[in-house]
Amino acid sequence: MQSFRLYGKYLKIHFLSGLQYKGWFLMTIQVLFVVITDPIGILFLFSRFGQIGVWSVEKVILIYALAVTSFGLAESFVRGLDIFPWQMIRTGNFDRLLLRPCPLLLQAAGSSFHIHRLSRSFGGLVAAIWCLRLQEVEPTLLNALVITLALCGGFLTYTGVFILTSGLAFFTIRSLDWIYIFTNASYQVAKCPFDYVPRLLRNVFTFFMPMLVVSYYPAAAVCGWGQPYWKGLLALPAGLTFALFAVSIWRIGVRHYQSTGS
Amino acid sequence: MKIRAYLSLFRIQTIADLQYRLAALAGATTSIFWALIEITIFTVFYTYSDRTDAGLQAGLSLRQVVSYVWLGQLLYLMLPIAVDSEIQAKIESGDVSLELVRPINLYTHWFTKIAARRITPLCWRGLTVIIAGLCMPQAYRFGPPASLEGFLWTLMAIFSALFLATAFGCLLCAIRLSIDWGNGPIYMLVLIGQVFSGSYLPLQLWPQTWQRWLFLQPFAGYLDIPCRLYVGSMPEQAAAVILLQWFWIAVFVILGKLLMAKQLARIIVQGG
Amino acid sequence: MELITLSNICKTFKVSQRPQGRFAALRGAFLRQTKTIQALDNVSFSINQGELVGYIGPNGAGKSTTVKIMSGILTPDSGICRILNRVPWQERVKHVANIGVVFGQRSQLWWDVPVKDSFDLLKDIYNIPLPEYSKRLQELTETMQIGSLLSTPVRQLSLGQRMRCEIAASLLHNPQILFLDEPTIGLDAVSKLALREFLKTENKKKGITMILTTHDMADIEALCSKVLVIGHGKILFDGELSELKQLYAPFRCLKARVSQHIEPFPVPEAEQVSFHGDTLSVVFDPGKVPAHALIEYLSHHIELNDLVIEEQNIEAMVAHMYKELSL
Repeated sequence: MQSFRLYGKYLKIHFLSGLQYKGWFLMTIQVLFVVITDPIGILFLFSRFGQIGVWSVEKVILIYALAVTSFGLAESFVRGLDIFPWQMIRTGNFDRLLLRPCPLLLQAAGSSFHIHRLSRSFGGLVAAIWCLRLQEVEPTLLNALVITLALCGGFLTYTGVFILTSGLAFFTIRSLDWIYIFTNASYQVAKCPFDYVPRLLRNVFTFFMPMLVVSYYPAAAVCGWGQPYWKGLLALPAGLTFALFAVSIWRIGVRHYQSTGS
Repeated sequence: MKIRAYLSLFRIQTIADLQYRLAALAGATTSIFWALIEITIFTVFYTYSDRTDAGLQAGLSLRQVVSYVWLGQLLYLMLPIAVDSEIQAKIESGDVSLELVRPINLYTHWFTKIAARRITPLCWRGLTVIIAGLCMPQAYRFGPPASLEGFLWTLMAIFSALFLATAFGCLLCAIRLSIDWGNGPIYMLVLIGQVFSGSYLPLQLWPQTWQRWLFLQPFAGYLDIPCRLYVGSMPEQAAAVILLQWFWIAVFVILGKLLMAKQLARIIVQGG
Repeated sequence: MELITLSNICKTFKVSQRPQGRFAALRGAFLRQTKTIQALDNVSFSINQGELVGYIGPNGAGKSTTVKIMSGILTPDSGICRILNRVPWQERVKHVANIGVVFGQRSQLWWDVPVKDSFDLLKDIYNIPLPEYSKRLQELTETMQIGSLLSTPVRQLSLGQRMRCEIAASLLHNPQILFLDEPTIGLDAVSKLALREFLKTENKKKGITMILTTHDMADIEALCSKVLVIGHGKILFDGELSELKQLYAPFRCLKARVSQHIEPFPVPEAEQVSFHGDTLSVVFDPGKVPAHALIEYLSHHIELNDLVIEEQNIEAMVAHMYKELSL
C-alpha cells in the first residue's frame, strides 16, 4: 500500500513539473498524430486489395488496437523503466536509488513519466471499440471483462519488456536496440492476419513475449472467431508470467551492478 | 584539407560505433525485423486477398515491392528523426549565440554536421541491412536493380535524397530556433515527412486519385523516388524526377536560410 | 560504541581495455580484454558513535569505493562490514533508512520542481510521520537558512544554495550516519564556512556520525578529529589529525619582522632560514628546539618587532605525505 502511495506521489511530482513546460499540449497532439498515421499503410492496402479470406480490415485493426492500447498504458505509467538505462545507469544516478529505503523497481518506474503518451492508448481504445461495434459484439459483462483483462495483461507484458530492457542494461547499454522488436515493432506483427503470421513469429509472440495472447485471443473470444473462449482469459496470467520473468532478469542485473559498480 | 578532416571524423565515429560490440548489428536487427514483417504482409495481400492483381494494376509486382522494402529500410535510416541532438542542446541552453563567434557561416556549418550524421548510420547499420536482404530466401530476397541504367539513376537519386534529408534537417533546426513550443511541432513535421516518403507504404499503392499530388510533394524524393528507380516502376522520367528532388532541396535551403537569418538577427539584437 | 566496523574488505574491478595494434578496433568489437584492478586491499577500520571522520586520499585511491560499500551500493569480494549491526548490502532497505548520503557533484533533488516538493516526496520515500517531519523541516530550515528557497525550483538555485538544500534533504529522516562525498566542491568561501559550521553543530547536537571525503584540507582541519588516509586501496593512516601532522608536518615556521636590515646568519638546530624583505622566516622542529629557546636566541641577535609561529600548510603537508608514500 505504502508503495502505491509513493508511486502516486511520483506521478504527481512529474505531472506538476510537466505542466510547467509549455509544449505539453502539443506533445499530446503529436502522439495522437503518431497513433493515427501508424496503421495508414494497412488501411490503404485493405482498400486496394479487399479482404483476405475471412480477414476484414476491422478484424486486423482490432487485434492491432488492443496491442497498441496496452503498449500506450505501459509507456505512460512505467516509462521510467524504459528511459532508465540511459538516464540512470549511464549517469550513475542509479546509486541514489540504492540509497533509498524503497523497492528499486518502483523508484525506477517513477523516475520519469510521459503522461502525454496516454493519447496512444486513447487512440487505440477508440479504434478497438469501433471495430468491436462493426462486428456487432454483444456488450455483455463477460466480454467487457475479457477486454479489460486483456488490457491489464497487455500492460503487464509491455511493462515486462521495459523491465527486461532495464535489467539487461546493467550488462550492456549500447547494444540494446534489438529490444525495439518487442516494443514498437511488436505490434506491427498484429497487422498481419493471424492465420498468415509465420510460425516462428507466432511462437515468439505467444510463448516468449505474449503479445498475441493479450491481443488476438481475447479478440477471438469476444468476436467468436472459432477459438475456445477460455483462451481469451489467458491474457492476465500470461502477462504476469512474462513480467515476473523480466523481474528475475532485473534482479540478476542489480546484483551484477552491485558487484561490479559499473 | 576539409575532406581529410571529414574522413578522420568519419573514422573516429565508426571506430566508436564498432567498439561497443557491434551495436550497429543490434540496431540492424530492428530494421531487418521490420522489413521481414512488411514483406510478409505484402505477400499475404498479393497472394490471398480478394483482388490479388490490385498491386500489378498499380504498377508494382510483389518482387518489386520486396526490393522496395529493403532499399526503403536503408534510406529510412537517412531521414532526420528529430532536430540534431547536439544542435538541439545548443538551442536549449542558449549557446547558439556562442556559435556566432566562429568565423564560419552557421547554416553551412550545421548543414555539414547534419549531412555527416545522416551518412554514418547508412554505412554500418545500412550495409548490414542490405547484406541481410541479399542473403534471405528467395521469397524475401532483395532483388537486383531493374536495369543498369536504372541503377545509375538510383545512385544519383540517393545522393540527391541525402541532400534533401539534410536540407530538411536544417530547416527543422531553423524552426526549432524560432519557436519555443518544445519539440512537439518538430516531431509532427518529421512524421509528415516519413509518412509521405513512402516508408509506410510505397506511394504507388496509396489511393489512385492522390497519385499525381503524392508524386510532386517534396518527401517522395526522400525514399519513394530512389526506390522506384531501383525497382523500375518509373522508367521514363528519371532525369525529371531528379530535377524535382533538386527543386525541393532549393526550396528547403532557401526557407531554412531565411528563417535562420531572421532568427539570428533577433538573437543578436536581444543579446541571446 | 563502535558504530561502523570494516575488517579485511577487498574489492577488485575488471576494466575493459582496447586491444592494441592492427585492426584493434575491429578485434575490440568481438573480444574484450580485461584488466583486474585491486580497488580495496584488506581495508579495516572502525568508527565510533558521534565521530567526525575525514577520509582522504588521492583520486582513484578507493575512497568512493569504500563509501559505496558502506552505504550498501556495492558488495565487496570478501571481508566483513557491519554498520549499526547490519551488513549493508544484505539488508539494504533497513540499512539505508538510517543513513544519509550527500554527493557534492550529484543532486538528489528533483530538478524541475520546487525544493519543498522534493522534500515532501522524500518524506514519503523515508516514510517519516508528519509531526516529526514538520518539526525536523522547521529545524533544518532555520539552521540552514533555506526558508526562502523552499518554493524555488532546484534548477534555479545557485550551487551554494543547492548544497544547503541537499544536506537538509539528507538529514530529513534523522539518519544516524551521514556520508558526505566532497560536499564543499565548487562552493565559495562564505558558503564553505557556513556549511562547516552547520555540520559541526549537527554533529554535536544530534550526535550524528559523519564521514567526509574531500580534497579540501581546510574542511578536514575545521571539522575532523579523526582522519583516515587511503592510497592504492590500502589504509595508510588511521588516527587523530594531530598525530598525522606530527608524522608528516612536524615543523613550525617562525616569522619575525625585523627593524634593521641584516645579513642571514646561522641559527642552531633550525631547518631553514630565509629573508623576504623585512621578514625573517625560520623553519624548526619543536621536538629538537623548543620555541622559547629559539625566540631567546633570536632576540639576542636582532631586534624583533613582531612575530608569529605558524603550522605548516596542511595542503603542503598532504602533498608531501602523498609523495612520501609514493601515491
